[in-house]
Amino acid sequence: MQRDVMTPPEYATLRFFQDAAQVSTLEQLTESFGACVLAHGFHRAACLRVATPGQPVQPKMLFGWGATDWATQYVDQRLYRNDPSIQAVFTAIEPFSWDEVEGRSPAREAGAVFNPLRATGAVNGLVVPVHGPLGEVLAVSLISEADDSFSRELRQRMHVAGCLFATRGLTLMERELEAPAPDLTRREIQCVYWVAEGKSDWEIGRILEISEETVAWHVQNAKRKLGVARRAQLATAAWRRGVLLDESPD
Amino acid sequence: MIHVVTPENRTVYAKELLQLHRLSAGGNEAMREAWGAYDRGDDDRAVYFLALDAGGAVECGGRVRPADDWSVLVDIAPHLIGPDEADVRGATVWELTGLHAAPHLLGPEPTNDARRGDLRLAIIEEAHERGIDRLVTIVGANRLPAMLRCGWRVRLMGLPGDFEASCAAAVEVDASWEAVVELRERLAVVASRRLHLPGHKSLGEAPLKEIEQFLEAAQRLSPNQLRPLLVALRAAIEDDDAPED
Repeated sequence: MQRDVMTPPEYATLRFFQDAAQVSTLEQLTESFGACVLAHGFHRAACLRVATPGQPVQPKMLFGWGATDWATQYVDQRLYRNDPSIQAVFTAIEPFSWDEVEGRSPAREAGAVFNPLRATGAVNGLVVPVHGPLGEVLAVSLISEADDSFSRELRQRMHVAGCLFATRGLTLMERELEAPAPDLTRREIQCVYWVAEGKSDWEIGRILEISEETVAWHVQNAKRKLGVARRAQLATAAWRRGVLLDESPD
Repeated sequence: MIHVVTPENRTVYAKELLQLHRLSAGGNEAMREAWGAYDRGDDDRAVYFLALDAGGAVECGGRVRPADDWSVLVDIAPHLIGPDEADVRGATVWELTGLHAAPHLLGPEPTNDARRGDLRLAIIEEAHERGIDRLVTIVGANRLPAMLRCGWRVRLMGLPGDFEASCAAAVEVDASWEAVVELRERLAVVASRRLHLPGHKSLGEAPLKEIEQFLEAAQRLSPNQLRPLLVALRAAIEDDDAPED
């Protein structure tokens, strides 16, 4: 049996395993996974759907932790076309690091993929391949800004944690899509729209010509209906649940 | 239909058990006992679950065994068990091993998933009926996604580690009534179709697939529909047994 006294990364991993079995929203899962990978020295994480059977390979960002705009840009700019780790994901059965695959592509092409990431402070990355039972291929990409050496034990923990993050996240996403769209009021939708635009409650109150307290109340209701704990999660949750956001008053 | 193989009817399934062990990597075909034990967990407490294809060959299957006296997890891989785990040697714990499917059943087609689902449902229903509420097993990390998305309620029991030269983790499969109901709903079935054949020696001469199809057909018929068929069957047997003039 594993020892009672554990290192912080070991403890964080076990904690994530427990949380993943109990959480009911994708946000809760992401928060817990974030704490787990942070304990291992990673500062950003993203789950991408790389391929679905019968469809062209077109990676798509599904969910992530930390700043995930890099993953969105990676998909939008189609950097995956030159990314050797995308090819590796199809055949790899264990996690691999960027420097283990970088040499498989011509230097200029690999540089086009990894240099922008390194410019944001990334030192190295670990990619966890996830092969689903129905043929889908996913990848959980973990970015490290401090340490570029990944021990065997770290890789094993991230392998299992990454698989759990991807599969449980998919299940929660599917449940959200199946659930009826939350019934947000017109005002709640407007407030969520302006929150997504980066406006404060006071600014939203000026825009909608209502008090700041009323805005706060609408935002709180929206958070409850969408099942999120933080303001920053509102827009993403609304989008995933099929709530159309716009600022029009009617 | 899922055939449930116990020590009582094991002799009926000698050929099929050999097929299952060949499906699983590293199956030891040495015949150690008169009844053909294959490995340490293949003893008089092992229960097998087999699904047969149209030709009668084993399509998928697995084995469970009470974990109270011995298990791979506790006796060979205890390093995979977390510090706060309930005693795996409990009386209501089965260890699941040798879960395998034929190559043609591994594809993503919905029919394959349904066939594998039949097996998974049969296992937890049988466990539940026998008072077992937990199944434990060791899963290779690369097979974990399939296990996590298969419809079973799966929980990781500890940190991953090395097992048989690869990364693996101990997992628990919930065999509670709620888990059974949840899987039935996912598969859109009322219950699994399990076959518990008696261990009659003569039964070993009948092709198992034909027995299965005969019983499946019989289950679909009402008693009034079955009665004339049984009369005709009895007459055919008596004719066959009658001495030649």
